[in-house]
Amino acid sequence: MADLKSASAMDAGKSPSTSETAKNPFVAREAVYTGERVVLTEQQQAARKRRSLWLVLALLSFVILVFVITITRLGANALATGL
Amino acid sequence: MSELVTVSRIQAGASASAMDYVRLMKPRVMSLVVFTALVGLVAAPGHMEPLTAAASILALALGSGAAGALNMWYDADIDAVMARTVSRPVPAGVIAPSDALAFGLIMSAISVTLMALAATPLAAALLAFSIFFYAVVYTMWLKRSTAQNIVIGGAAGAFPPVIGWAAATGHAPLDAWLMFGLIFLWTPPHFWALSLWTSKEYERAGVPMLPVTRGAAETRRQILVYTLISVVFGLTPVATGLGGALYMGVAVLGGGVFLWAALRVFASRAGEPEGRADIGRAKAMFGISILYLFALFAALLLERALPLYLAVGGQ
Repeated sequence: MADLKSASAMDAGKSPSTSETAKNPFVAREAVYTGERVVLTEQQQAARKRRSLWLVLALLSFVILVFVITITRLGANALATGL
Repeated sequence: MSELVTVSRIQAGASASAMDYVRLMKPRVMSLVVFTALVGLVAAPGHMEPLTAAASILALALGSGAAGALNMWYDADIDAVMARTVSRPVPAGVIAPSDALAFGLIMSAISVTLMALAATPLAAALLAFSIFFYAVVYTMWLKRSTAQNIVIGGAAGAFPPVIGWAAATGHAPLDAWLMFGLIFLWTPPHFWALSLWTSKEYERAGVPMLPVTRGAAETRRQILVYTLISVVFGLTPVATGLGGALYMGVAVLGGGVFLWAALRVFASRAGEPEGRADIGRAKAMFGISILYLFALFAALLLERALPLYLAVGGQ
């Protein structure tokens, strides 16, 4: 579990009024600084690194796949139209 | 205490692995989706480039996974009180609900985009609609509101062969919709057999499955009726020429076994407090139903892919 550490040295931000967001759902809520921080354990950091690697691989595969499909279909269409 | 929610959300996803995200995509459901879509793609007339065919199947698998992730995001509260689903990534606290939602939405967009690029606009549109149908119509609306949830919601799982056919040809003719019908009519007796021994959990979760709202006896009766309709409908591909001699043999033999299993459930007291000894019949029927559907689609695949097609009717 990640540790929760109070950053009391830092100033906690003022809570914004929520009346506007209650009236209008399209008004974005402002962040409220609470003084809390999340410090990941070594295990969680390692898990995050692995997830990042998988994400890189997935995105790279997607880009390559889109490129290859595009070239293949362009080639097939070019052949079909006699270009 | 919005700050605590934020912190717990970060904690919830901090240890998640790639495999947890795979589990979020319901890989077992995905395998059935891929298989039936492949049959639709192979059974369709014409030729499709192997690469674009593979990309279409991948897009469909991702779309199925996206729908599964959206289902797990929305149903986390139900999943948390059922033994069968409590270990899923969201109720187990391995993946944060917001992460599951984001993953489902992004995968939906990627899958539909990939399908549009690799196959046809119709296939992409059907894929988008099937994701919407499963995530919104079934999961968010029908599942918690009516005992007919499985009957209507079964359409979501029936789309893959139509999408496969549309990916190959750009059209969805009658034969494609016959394959849709095979899965659509098979779904209710399949899930109702399961619900006969999980009805207490569904009741606790507030899901109005048929045994919960109408009782076990009515469920057994409807299992028999739907199985009969399903088995008869299973012969229609022979009439149009979609299925040949092999398919007909499998449909007759498999249909007979499926119907026999449904009759055994109908004649039992499965699902009732005093019918615990009969639950084995419901479990057997559940397993047979899976084999029956698999055999039907495997026969169609073998007839077209090898090819073993021997015309009996139609065409």
